[in-house]
Amino acid sequence: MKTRVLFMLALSICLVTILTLFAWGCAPKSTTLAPADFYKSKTVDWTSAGAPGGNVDQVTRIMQPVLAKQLGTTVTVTSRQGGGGLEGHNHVWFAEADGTHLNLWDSFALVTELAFEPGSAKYAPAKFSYIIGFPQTDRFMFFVAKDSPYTTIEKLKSGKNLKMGGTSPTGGYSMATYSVASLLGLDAKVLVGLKGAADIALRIAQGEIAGAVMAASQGPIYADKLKPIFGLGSKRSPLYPDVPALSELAKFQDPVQNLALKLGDTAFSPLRAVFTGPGVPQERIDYLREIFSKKVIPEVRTDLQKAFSGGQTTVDLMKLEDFISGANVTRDTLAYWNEREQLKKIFDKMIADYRM
Amino acid sequence: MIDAFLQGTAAVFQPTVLTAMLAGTVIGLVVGIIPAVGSLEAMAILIPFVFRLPPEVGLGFLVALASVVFTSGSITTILVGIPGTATNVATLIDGFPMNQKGEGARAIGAALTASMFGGVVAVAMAMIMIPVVVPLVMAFRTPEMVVVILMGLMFIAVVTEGSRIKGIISGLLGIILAMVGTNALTGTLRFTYGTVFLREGIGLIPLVLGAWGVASLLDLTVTGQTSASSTLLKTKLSGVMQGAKDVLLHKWMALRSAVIGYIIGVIPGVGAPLATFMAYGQAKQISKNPEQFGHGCVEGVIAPETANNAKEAGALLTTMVFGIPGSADMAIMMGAFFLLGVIPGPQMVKEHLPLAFTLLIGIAFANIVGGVLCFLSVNPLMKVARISVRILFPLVSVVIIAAAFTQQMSIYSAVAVFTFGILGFLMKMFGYSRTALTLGFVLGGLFEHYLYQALKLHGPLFFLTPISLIMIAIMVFLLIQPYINSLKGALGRLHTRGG
Amino acid sequence: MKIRASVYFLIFIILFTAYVMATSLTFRYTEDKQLIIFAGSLILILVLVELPRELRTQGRTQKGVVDQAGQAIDPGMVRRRIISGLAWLAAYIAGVYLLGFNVASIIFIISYSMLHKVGWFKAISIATITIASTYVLFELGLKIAPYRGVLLSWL
Repeated sequence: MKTRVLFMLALSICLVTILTLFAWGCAPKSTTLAPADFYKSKTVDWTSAGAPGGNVDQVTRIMQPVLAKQLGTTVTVTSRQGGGGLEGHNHVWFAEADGTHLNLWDSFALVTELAFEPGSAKYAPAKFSYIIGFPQTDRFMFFVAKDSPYTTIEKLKSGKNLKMGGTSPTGGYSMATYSVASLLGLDAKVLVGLKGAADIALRIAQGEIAGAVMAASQGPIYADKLKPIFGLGSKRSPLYPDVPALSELAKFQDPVQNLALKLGDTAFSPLRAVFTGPGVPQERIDYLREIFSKKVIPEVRTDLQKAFSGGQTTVDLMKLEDFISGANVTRDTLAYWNEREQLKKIFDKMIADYRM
Repeated sequence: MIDAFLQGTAAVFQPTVLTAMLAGTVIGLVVGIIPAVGSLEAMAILIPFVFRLPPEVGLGFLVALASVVFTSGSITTILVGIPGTATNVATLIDGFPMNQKGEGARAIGAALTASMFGGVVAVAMAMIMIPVVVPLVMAFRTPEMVVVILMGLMFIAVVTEGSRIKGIISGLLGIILAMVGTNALTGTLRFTYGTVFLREGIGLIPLVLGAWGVASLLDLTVTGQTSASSTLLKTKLSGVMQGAKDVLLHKWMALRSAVIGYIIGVIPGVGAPLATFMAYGQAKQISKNPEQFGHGCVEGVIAPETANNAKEAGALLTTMVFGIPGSADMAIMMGAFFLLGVIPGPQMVKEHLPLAFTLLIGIAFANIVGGVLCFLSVNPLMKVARISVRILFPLVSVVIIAAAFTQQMSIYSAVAVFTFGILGFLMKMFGYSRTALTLGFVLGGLFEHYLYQALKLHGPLFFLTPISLIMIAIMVFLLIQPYINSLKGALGRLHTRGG
Repeated sequence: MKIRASVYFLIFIILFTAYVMATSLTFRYTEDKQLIIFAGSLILILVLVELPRELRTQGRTQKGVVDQAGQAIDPGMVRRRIISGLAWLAAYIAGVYLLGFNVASIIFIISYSMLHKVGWFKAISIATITIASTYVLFELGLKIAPYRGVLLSWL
């Protein structure tokens, strides 16, 4: 009896192997097909590297069915969360370079992951193939409580033993808050480890921290408790056109300070891009770009605006042509990858000076 | 307020809203049955399908789905010994032993009724508390959070079966396991050995699937032919109804558990399993038969199941009124709110109060309908308890491994489940408490997180706040209460002899 | 004197805790190690209290494992069943890694069932129903693609 079972087991393994080889042999060789036909014959695997239901995951799932319809094929969203996005990015980096493995992330996360978390990331962010980028629809701003005494930069500078907040130790909010403390020379310490914008807002409202940097789109949610006093970088937020940008309020001579300020216009703004692995044939990148920009985005742009801007749809934040250039902006932002050594030194010093 | 309540109630009975809530309830029940898969994954996938619907339809669907996942999760927990969701672990302590004794139907009846009771009572509390939830949330700052979590850790000593020392060792081991991963306060990678998999820490899912699911499976292969003794199996409706009656018999305990679950749900960031373990702990502390807990005591099923469903109303209320997600599910729900054009927070209370009532009533609706549907399914589902281990072992193994991959699509997830399976089995064999391990794991990371924040923000005397001191007093009282009872008993006996 | 397995388990806890505490001393910040050292120290103290108790009860008769009918099971049989269960699980996970979830699950269910004297028709039916159910629930329902094994990915 046992011999028979073992024989059947071996037979079934052989059968499976033979069938798989046969199926592989019969599959049309992809290099000979035009992009449209190529995608019709394949399944596209779109990695969702963020937590299920999070912003990245939501945006991915909003676009997925429309992309599937336009490509005429199955597009599956596979959750590969882990390591703050590293799992997903590593997967796309090593996946077959045929254009069927997509990912969506924000560019600052890509930079900080590499600048501050060496070893686990196996990729070079600038070498991914960027299809489209989502233009900056949001900016980072410094928020304080509605009844806070620190309503101007001067009052912040005169404050003693200020407590500020950040999220993950090398995340965008934390880096931006460190930057503010450093740029303004505040008598402050930054407590990191808060669990996102909601936690930051709660702590500010409860009076446990004096202020923190958050995305502008979070402001209206907590409008009864918080207010922004300035935005980072050189441009004002479209959501708060009356709130000045930092560069309007203070002048910085030091090149290091200016680098930190420049980050406010680029990496400190949630800049998202759809990308695929390195080495994908250019005609497929062009084809995907056309599909996304002319077919997918127009159909879902209102929903994307809601997802990106936390429901604030009163301002038309995205011009269609920006989606194409957004891919280039992302690549340019990732040029900071070339300055990561310098970035690391700057931020290491900020962390040492201002960490609580 | 009354007008908004009436409008909200009327909205529930619109055909589209009712249909959406019914669909959400059914999907939630199906998702809950799958071991270790909670509402997070289902909601993440379904949001794109609902965001073009009117808010009351789309949100009603999602709220109903999230509300009943734990209800059907208790069935898997009791019948097969694998928690349906992470928050069903506390139910497993007594639920599965009840099944093994042939009282599975009674356990399920108690769990379903307790779930319905908790869900409905919590909704009533939520509606009354709409005006006061903001001050309540504002009052719970980091010092209070530390003390609440400490109270939860204290329950390690309460929930542990057998040797107290071994129970505390188990709890401390759980705390150490929680330290694996990235320290959110410092960014230091602890015990990750360069792997991406461990950067986010050991997930609760692999631990629960392994320590409970795999360990139960191994136990079955050693001891039995079916998960419940076939000679003792009672599948008649009377068994289920007996369980339902048990909830009425212990209504005050159930009410206390509902209050505990609701309040834990209101406080953001505390962790859903804490509600169930605290409810279980208080039920054991106050019970007349505490020694029966852990060996198939129906109170040990009623308390956590009531709290489990009660917390959802609290979490939803905090999310809607404050704009702060009260739980992981509610974090996803917030995304859905935005997509549907509703901004949670004070704005919602001003502009969409009827919608808030619709959603709260939706929780009650889903709990009642979900409970009834589960009641109708009990008899066919009880047949699972009769399946031979020769069929059950491979079947359940496949489901466990499939569930492990839902957290992270990495073979390490399966390896982690296997490793914890060995650990859980050995712990069971040598008398160590897996409950304490799980509780320590769930709360250890949170305790470290809030403790250091409280120390940095408020200094070493952070606990000297009115609410913290009151909670510390309650904690001390609960700890010494069994000794007070023993002392009273001894004094009473002395007095009787002397008299 | 034959040492009980429970004593070995305690020794394992001691070694594990000592390792964890030693490793934590290499962490950069105080916050990274304090709670680990505190919890670890408590574990070591409690284990040192428990260890003599375990050693003292060595000679006493242990309660044996009983099956559902109340019959005692020979300890050798218990060990064999545990090892067998673990071996099957380990082999299944290895199969998932190499061949992917679907293929490995089919082979696992059929081979386990048939080696445990479940008829071939029943075994194949159970395998088919299980894979179909996981496909519907996970792939169609939750949109979670199954794990693709190393060998099949290479193909």
